[in-house]
Amino acid sequence: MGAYSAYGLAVDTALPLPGDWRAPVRGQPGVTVEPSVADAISDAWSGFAEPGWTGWTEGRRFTVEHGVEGDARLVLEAIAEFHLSASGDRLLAAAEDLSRADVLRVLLDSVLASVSLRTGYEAMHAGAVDTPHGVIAVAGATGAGKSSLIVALLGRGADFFSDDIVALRRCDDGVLALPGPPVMTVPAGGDVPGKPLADLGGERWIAVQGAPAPRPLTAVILLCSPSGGEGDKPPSMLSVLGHLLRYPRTAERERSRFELASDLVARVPIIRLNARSGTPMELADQALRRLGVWRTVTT
Amino acid sequence: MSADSILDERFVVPDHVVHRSFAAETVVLNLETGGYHGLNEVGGFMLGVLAATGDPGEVVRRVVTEYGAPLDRARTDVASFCTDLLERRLIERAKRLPGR
Repeated sequence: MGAYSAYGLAVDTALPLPGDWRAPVRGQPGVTVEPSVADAISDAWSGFAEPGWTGWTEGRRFTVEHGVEGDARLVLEAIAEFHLSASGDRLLAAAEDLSRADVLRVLLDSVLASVSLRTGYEAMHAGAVDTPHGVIAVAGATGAGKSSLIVALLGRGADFFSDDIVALRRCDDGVLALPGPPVMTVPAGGDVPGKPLADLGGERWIAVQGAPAPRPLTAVILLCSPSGGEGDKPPSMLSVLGHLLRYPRTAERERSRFELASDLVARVPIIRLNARSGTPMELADQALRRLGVWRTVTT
Repeated sequence: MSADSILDERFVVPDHVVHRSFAAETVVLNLETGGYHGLNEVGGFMLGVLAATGDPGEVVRRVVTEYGAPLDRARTDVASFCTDLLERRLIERAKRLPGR
């Protein structure tokens, strides 16, 4: 069995996962990912109780449902199915070919992130890089250019931390970010900061070196478009809340999410960048200067 | 409901409402609906006084003192504010004790 860390989880699995993983972080809640078949998942499923969340990934509908006994079923329409035990420590995975890039990508993104959220972590829809000062998260609407900015920040000497989703938890000193899997989706074409794994939906999925450990979240960049209506308004708590993943939606979790966002806004510098105000590299330079980490990252 | 009548009532911020104030905004979360609400600086000030005292009349007095607003304007604004909060279930009428 391979041992991995992603989104604050210790992941054990016989599935070979792509990317340059670091040693798992000790003391994290664990989940075992077991290759399985659809019939076994049907047997394990306790029956529909309520919807979890629904989104689109790999050009298909991705659905999370909660079972009557506290388990969860996660389905990538017509491609793959997963079952998470009520205790949250056993994930069955079924697909015609579990080694297919789109199946692995949904496992490492939407599925494990959902498991992390159910475990109690919060998460931001953002990419992130690590710097000597801490983690910088880049949030923005789909298509705003988050990946291009992350690639540019890597080109300026930052280290990869997470792609698309950053798991978070509150700590005494503020907010702690937890590394994501060591894979990235980047725009197709041009130089990529890692080993290409597959071309999926017009994008390139690449393997990169993973981050070794949780790190303090030190800044958030909100990437916005000039037509987005946000203009030059200063970043607000509402704009941060808009990028946190609202799952599960229990009152208890809504409260803890609100408290995390409050801590984040109170303690972490947040800057808004106009996505159309320069090339990705120019935006990266602008962000590093405004955050005061230019010298450390680029030298 | 007239401005006068709502200003004579007493309100509480229920347990299912949490709020946090920053320099330029106050954000309110209704845990029952999951809805977030943003208030500007003055709105945050009014909610803070209302949460502390439950008394819209006190909110009017503090708005006049703090922001130099004319009394009539302050009464209209606070009444409208309380009506809006009630509609969004961010405040509730305080239960009166028997005999009061």
